[in-house]
Amino acid sequence: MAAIVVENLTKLYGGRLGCRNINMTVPRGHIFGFLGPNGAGKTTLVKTLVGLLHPTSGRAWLLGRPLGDVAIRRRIGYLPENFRYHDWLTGAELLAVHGALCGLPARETRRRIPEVLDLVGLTGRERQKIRNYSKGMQQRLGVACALIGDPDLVFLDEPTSALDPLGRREMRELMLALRARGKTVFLNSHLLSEVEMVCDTVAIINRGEIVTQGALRDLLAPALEVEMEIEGSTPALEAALAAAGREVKRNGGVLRLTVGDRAEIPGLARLVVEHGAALYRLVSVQRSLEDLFVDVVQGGN
Amino acid sequence: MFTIAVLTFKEALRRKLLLLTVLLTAAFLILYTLGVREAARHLPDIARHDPLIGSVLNSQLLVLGLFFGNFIIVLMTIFAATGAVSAEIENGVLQTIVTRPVSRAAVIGGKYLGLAGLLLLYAVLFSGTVVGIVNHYTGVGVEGPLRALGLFCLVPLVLLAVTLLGSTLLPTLANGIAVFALYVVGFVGGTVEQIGALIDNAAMERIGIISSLVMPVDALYRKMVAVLTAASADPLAVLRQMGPMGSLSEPSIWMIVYTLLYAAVALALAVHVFGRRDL
Repeated sequence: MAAIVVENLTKLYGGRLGCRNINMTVPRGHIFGFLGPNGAGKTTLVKTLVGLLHPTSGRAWLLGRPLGDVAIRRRIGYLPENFRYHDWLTGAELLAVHGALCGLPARETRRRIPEVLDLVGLTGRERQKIRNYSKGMQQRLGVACALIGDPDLVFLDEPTSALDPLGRREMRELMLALRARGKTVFLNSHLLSEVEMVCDTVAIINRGEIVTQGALRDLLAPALEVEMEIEGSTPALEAALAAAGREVKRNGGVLRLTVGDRAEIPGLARLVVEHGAALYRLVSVQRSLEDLFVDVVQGGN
Repeated sequence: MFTIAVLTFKEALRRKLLLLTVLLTAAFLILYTLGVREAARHLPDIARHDPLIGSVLNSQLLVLGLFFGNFIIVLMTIFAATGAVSAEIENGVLQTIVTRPVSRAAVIGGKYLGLAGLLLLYAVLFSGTVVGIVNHYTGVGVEGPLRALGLFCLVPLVLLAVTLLGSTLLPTLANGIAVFALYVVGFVGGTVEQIGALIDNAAMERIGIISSLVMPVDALYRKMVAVLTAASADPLAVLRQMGPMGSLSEPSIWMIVYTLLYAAVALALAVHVFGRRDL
């Protein structure tokens, strides 16, 4: 059973588009990256899934239960994009409140608090008032709050926006550790490198609609790119290379070709040699998520 | 719901509003005690010159104390609850609460219970102190103290339901102004009704009844004063209940039933509106 199934979900704000006709499936035990430019509808979808917004139409299921099911939220954690908590409480008090809201017995909450504090690197700070926390510490505490009930599905909306590079790395490790324990993470982020490093599956949303989705490996695999540094190139050589590759981009002395298959690469080197030009460098470049993102978003625009 | 009630109670307890209210109340009680003591000391002289004033002075002092308490508790209720939902929507705190396995009805219920607990505590302590001060210096007792206390406590409970409903519909400041304006409508209407009763003007009394239907909190206060100062078969009872703060025209028991229904409907509407609202 999938962790999240969304069917034709649409959310309009007074006629204005939030997200439209969203269909997606997030497998259990995956880290799912949800990407899109600013204002594309990412947070709208997350807020609809966690029950903050009511969908205009369509359906969705979280861990097999339909949207609006209150009990299933016991197994769901959520870090909002604009995290704000009762800042007059200490970190430990806030976690105790959220443990109680999750329905955890008091003893279980007491056991979980040091665990989650350790997970997010806040051990020793739990007696401090939240209002004295830095922004980064508050975000860490927000993640701890999301995890206090040991959820099977965690929604993290821009979880590293307030973290320094070290904190970002720790957060990535935390997500990987959650996946290793069979948990599902829905990561809403515009940090493509972050998504690329941890996600198994991704979806890209633009102007409220999903423009592509699937396993990250599959989305990036079909487009194998080759970078060639050539000296003494002739129009005939370039025509031959253009015929061999699917797409040719020139950047100074460097040519970038998209080929359909890895086996085509030696043939490119042969063409250069046959045309009497000098080949100084030939590297196959895996298409990055950024390339994919730019392609699908700009293509949509 | 219990967790939210406790959280709401603790949050209200630590706000500066409560500290200010406690300081203001303390200042009032000190002045009030001095006033009642002086009045009690000079009462024999006053009664000698003017027996009529002498016989109604003590109950007028009691009504004055309770009027102030009622007014403070009205303000406290409005200020404590005006942003209970709206402010937490605006600052985002509610996002982490309503995504927990807690129904939205329980969020409203918890907030109501938490704030009601604090307001009731204040109402009981204040009214007990005022009655105690008057009783100590003048020996004047009250009629039906438990009924009166019940009515005094109903004031914040009813107003809290209305303010919570407003908080699900309006921004914090707008809600505070709207609920206070509604209270003023009830109070002015209630005062017109009292004057109408005094000069036997049916139209003025009707204005009071209509305003009480719009905002019945003032009717609860009038009923409480009537209960406290009603000495049966005493022709001076009329005088004791006179004045804009008094209760010459006593609201009927049906007004109390209406008020309870009014609060229940307001709370149910608050749950309904909040349940459908996008956050």
